[in-house]
Amino acid sequence: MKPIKLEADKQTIHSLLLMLLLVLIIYVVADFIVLEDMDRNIALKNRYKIQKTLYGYIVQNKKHLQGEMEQYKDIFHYEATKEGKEQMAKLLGEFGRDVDIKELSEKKEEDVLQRRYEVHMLIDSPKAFYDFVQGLDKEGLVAKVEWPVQFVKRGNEISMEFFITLYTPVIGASSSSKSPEEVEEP
Amino acid sequence: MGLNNCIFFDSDNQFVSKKELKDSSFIHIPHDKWYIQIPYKVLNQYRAAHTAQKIISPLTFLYLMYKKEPQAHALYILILDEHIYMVTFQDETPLFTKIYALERVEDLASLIESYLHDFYAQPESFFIEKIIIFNFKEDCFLLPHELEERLLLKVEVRQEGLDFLCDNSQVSQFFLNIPEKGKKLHLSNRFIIFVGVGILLLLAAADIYFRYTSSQYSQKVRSLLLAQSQVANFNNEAQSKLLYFQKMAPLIRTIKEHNAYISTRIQNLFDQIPPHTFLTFAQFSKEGVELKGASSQKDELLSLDKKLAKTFKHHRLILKKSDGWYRFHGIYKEMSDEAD
Repeated sequence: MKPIKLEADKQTIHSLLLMLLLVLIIYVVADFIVLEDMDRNIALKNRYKIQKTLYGYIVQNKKHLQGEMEQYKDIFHYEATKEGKEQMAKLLGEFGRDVDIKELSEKKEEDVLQRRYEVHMLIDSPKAFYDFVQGLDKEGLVAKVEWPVQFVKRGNEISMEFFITLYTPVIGASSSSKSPEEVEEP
Repeated sequence: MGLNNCIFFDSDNQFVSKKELKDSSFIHIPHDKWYIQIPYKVLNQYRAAHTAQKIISPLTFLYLMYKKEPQAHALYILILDEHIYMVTFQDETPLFTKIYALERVEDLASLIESYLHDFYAQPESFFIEKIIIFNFKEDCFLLPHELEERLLLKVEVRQEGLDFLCDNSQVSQFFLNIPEKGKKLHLSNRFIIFVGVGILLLLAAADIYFRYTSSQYSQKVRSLLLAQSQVANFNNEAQSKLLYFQKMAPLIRTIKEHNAYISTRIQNLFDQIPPHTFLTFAQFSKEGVELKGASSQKDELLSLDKKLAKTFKHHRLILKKSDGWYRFHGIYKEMSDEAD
């Protein structure tokens, strides 16, 4: 009788120990690996949904802005630049020689900086001047050619003199470096 | 049958084997060089039907009897209520074993004959000299001399107590005592392992799924952030440009028109200069224009002056002839409304 009972008890203990071991392994695997991965999965899924919604808003905003920009289609190439004088000098150099630009005055009106220059240069024909004026528009330079414009014949060249005012928006120039929409880095 | 708590496993569902089978559905009772194999199911059913704790195989009993007093060329027979067990031994191993269902005691002689017939057909058989019978069937009375006459063999009927045998501690190893409970536990261990491994596999599959979908989402989020960043950059630029245009558009458009006007006005005037006339000085102002130059033909100059006079309200032309050239100085002021 006794050996039978002992055998049975031994088996029961083995079974219980085995069950305990398996429960422990399952708990460790589930808690430390699977649940952690599941939490990460849920977090990523939620993040994806949020980012998708956010992306939808940004795209909607883009369409709205594109619609707004339509009314400025004709002057879209005009840009707020701080290097207006350098750009202008470069443009003058393309059409004339011995270019001399003198800054006469500077003033600010309604957050727009106005710098007035006197320009001297040598050209081969008045066409160079017309091309220069066209160039101002092409380059998108907000520069107004001022009266008087003077042409003096010097041998085979024409010496010309005129005034030009460059307009630079103070707020516009600084706002271009701002980022109204902050995007989270990946 | 045995008395009290020790009984025979009276069933033909038991087999002699010289090797231990790997089949786990059988209980294996090892003897010196051989085994008795009994299906668990049959043994459990048998245990369930009987209250006795100790169960011994009839084949084990015959083997123990043989070992107690070995008879080389003897046939050992055990008669129980349901079956008759016949075994011949050689070198402590059953050589030929047969279990017959016993319906009538009168059939015993013919069953022995049948056994002997089958036994002698075996290649390793030997000549049986003696038959030793153990009778545990209560209503069975054997007459050895009748059997001897019919079989022409020496027959010995022995009486042996089963309980006395079962109380021997050396016999306990042959009890069919692998308990049903143990078998169940054995099965339940396998079941626990099966379930445990199953759960672990499910967890592993779930983890693989989570990791795979996580990497997919991670990739999607990365590409979404990149796209967001690109669109946001565009929006930022567009917004700052929009601010710029909201402020500057009227001014830009005015300047654009003004510059085009200056250029056109100057170009128009230069285009009007006749072929025999050249300019040495031209100054354009908001109000008018001042021209200096020379011409070989006076008519051309007068014609030019006449044209310009249509454009400006006030005009004055000074002509001076020198070296065959008409040097001129023209001043034109206040543009007429038509020209403007």
